[in-house]
Amino acid sequence: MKTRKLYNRIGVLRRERGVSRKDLAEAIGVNFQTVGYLERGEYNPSLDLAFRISEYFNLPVHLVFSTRPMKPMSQELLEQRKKRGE
Amino acid sequence: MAGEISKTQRRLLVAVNYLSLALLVFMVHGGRARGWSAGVIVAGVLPVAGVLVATFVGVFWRTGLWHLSHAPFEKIDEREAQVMYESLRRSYAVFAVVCVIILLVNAVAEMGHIPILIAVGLLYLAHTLPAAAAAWSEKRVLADR
Repeated sequence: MKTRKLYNRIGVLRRERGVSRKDLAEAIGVNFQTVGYLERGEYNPSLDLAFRISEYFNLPVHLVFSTRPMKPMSQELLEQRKKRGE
Repeated sequence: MAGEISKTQRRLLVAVNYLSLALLVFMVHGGRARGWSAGVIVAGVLPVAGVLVATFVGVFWRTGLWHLSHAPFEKIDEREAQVMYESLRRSYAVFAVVCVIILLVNAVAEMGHIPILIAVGLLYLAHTLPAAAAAWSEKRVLADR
């Protein structure tokens, strides 16, 4: 089955929060090697796993995963603010 | 410290493992048929058996692929389940081809029954093929056991 490549910010978020791959893997219920596969974009998670990861980082799922290459989070938030006219 | 085993290394270890298995079966079965003495057979078998065990440990045990291929579904995550599905699919195909070849050779050579050593070899193959298929095709495998 061919699937689209999914982009994500898991690696950035994990490093930013000082969480090890093993700790993240334990929290979301996967093998720590799977976290590596996810971070490198070599494995697309199921919807359930994508939500578990987003909930772990306390962020909406669209800020963690995207079908397009992701911009830095600060730039994305700035653009969202501009859109809202803040 | 977990080290990564490259795909080339894994493929080499899998090939050596199955070649040593084939050699082992050939030496014991063929040796007996050719009237080799027990001493000659044992002297030849021991180093080959050593290679078989060493490569088994290196590519199936230390990488955790043996455990993964025997783990119940609820103990593995979704990516591992996907890897195992693909590995099982490939190993069923390879196992079927190997069985057909053995049956054909057996029929052509009019051996009558499948020798017990070949049956044991097939049993080993059936148990290790899913792990071998994963070792053969996975992008990254760590030797962390």
